[in-house]
Amino acid sequence: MENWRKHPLVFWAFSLPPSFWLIVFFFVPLTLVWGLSFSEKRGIIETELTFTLDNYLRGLEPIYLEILWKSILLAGGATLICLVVGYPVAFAIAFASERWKPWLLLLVILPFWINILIRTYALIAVFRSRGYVNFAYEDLWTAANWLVGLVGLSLGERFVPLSLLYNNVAVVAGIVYAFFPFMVLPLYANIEKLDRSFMEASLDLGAGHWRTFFSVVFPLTWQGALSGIVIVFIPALGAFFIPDLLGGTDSQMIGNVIERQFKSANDWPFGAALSFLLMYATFFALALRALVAGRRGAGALDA
Amino acid sequence: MSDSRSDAIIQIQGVTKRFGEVTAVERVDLDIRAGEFFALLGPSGCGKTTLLRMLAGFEQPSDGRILIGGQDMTGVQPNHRPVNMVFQSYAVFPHMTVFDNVAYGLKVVGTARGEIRPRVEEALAMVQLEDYGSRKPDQLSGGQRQRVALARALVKRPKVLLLDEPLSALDAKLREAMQLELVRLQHSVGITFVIVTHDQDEALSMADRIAVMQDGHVRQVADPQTLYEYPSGRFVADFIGKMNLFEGRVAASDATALAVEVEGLGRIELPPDGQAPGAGQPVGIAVRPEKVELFRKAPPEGSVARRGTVAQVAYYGDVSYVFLDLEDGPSLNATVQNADRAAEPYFTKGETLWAAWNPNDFLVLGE
Repeated sequence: MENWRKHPLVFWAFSLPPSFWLIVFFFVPLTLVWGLSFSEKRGIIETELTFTLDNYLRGLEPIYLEILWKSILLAGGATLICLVVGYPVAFAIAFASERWKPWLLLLVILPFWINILIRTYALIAVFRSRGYVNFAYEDLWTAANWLVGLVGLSLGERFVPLSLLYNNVAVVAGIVYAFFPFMVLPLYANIEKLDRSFMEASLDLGAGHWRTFFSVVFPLTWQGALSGIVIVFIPALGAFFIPDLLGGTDSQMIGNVIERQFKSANDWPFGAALSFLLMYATFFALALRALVAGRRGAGALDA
Repeated sequence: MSDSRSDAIIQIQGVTKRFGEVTAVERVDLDIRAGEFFALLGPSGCGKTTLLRMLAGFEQPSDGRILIGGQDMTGVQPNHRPVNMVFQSYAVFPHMTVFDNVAYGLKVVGTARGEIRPRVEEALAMVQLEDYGSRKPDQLSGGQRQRVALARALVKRPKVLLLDEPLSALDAKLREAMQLELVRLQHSVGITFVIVTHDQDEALSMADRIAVMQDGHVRQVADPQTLYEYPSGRFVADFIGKMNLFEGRVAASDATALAVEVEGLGRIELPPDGQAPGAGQPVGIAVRPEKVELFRKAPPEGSVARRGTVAQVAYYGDVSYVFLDLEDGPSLNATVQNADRAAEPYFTKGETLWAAWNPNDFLVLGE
């Protein structure tokens, strides 16, 4: 049906609302922030567009580059964990019986029904020294201590809780927890449509299950993994309240720095410049993805 | 099924496969001889593919056991079985070149590097794809992809090659060519082929022996000619080829003669048949359309002859199917060879003819 092109009214009716939305809520604010990034502070709330590059130069100072690098490491680590854990989960769902599949998918999506902030606070309750992980650990410790006490030994004077919160590990755990479904869903979609006979052929030809995974399944579902990586990594890179709530003094991410410029530091131009630096980094990652996908797509999968 | 056990490469012994409530294969006993081209033939849902998948190891029998080369395959994973499979979808890995596809089965079992290249090239030559090694599967036609799947399986030098509906995705001309090709290939490599098909022409033209399956049971195992001329029952008679089937009752049955009273055809005298049911029992008698001869004049003595009117003629070039309405009711299908170009006139609609056939060509089919 190409007819809609011939009816301008239909065309406009369909394209106006989304265009309006994009312009008013995306391009205009983005342009404002972009302009802001070339501005100078004149007072508490006044700024002046002077086309200065100082904000960007400041953003490229080692201290901020270091935080950006650290953000990439934390977000990248979290993405990797999501990928490694996501594959088996997506596999299990794709191979589950038709009766269980919708329920398993629901379990993956269910956390979305609760606000992410509340879920992050809940993680604090799980990880803190008087939290559920430590409660379980304490019970184990007490029991073990009693056991070794029978033969006259001791595990220590008293129970020392694990410090699970306010460090980089907690931040990574928080990011993994928040964005895990974004990894599982595209992976699941790709594994689900993968022709089972590819796997059977690999087994039939003498390959074991691991070999089959790395030589056949992974290369053929790589597109899904790539989508998952992008949609986990990008929001993870810009995360600010997860490191804020779960991280310690040394686990600041670039999102925290940007947030601070707009709030406590009240330096909007610098915050805007940092935002755009982050966006350029993201664009770079996306371009890389398109390049990789394009090269693999040429000749990899036929319709 | 009393084949000598010594030359059986595959022994299927009392194999049953259940999926929940559904029994896909039920108590099948089957021996497949080394070096033969064996076909599992049946309509969809008859259990033939399930049986093949049990040979490959993708399914485990619920009951009974399968021996390949004398070894019990119970619990043996697909990657440890001396069989290879050509999949219906071919399952040629889209992310590998033709060469890598064929080499895959050798690489994964750690074949020496120096040995892989000559063996892959030999396998590609076998399917006439020598120059296609560097191509990707999406640059190949369906027929070529199938050859890759064949080469990929044959390069493993399996004891048995399993083929799951290998020709169903090809167009008619290519399918015919591939049928001959597969038989030629099987002769040259000497490997046992087990093919699953729902296409009787395919099975008849290619296989040395055929097992006809229905509802999870094997109905008959025989060479193609026996299967066609002496089907063991109604299902096989009806499934293989075309058939004129008449229902009747046994009028007399003893060591010297068999007579059947058929509605619309009257009393028909047949050669004695020890297997035939006793007098008064219902029985079906059947005759193949190509055994029916059509005459404009009175037919020769000694044949079963009835008059009828041509209801329809289906012209296929080499043969014509003539559908007759016999005078006393039943309709009859006769296949006529269009052997003589100048034969005039051809049978036409509305014409009244004699249909005649030899009583020896009747098949007697019990319930």
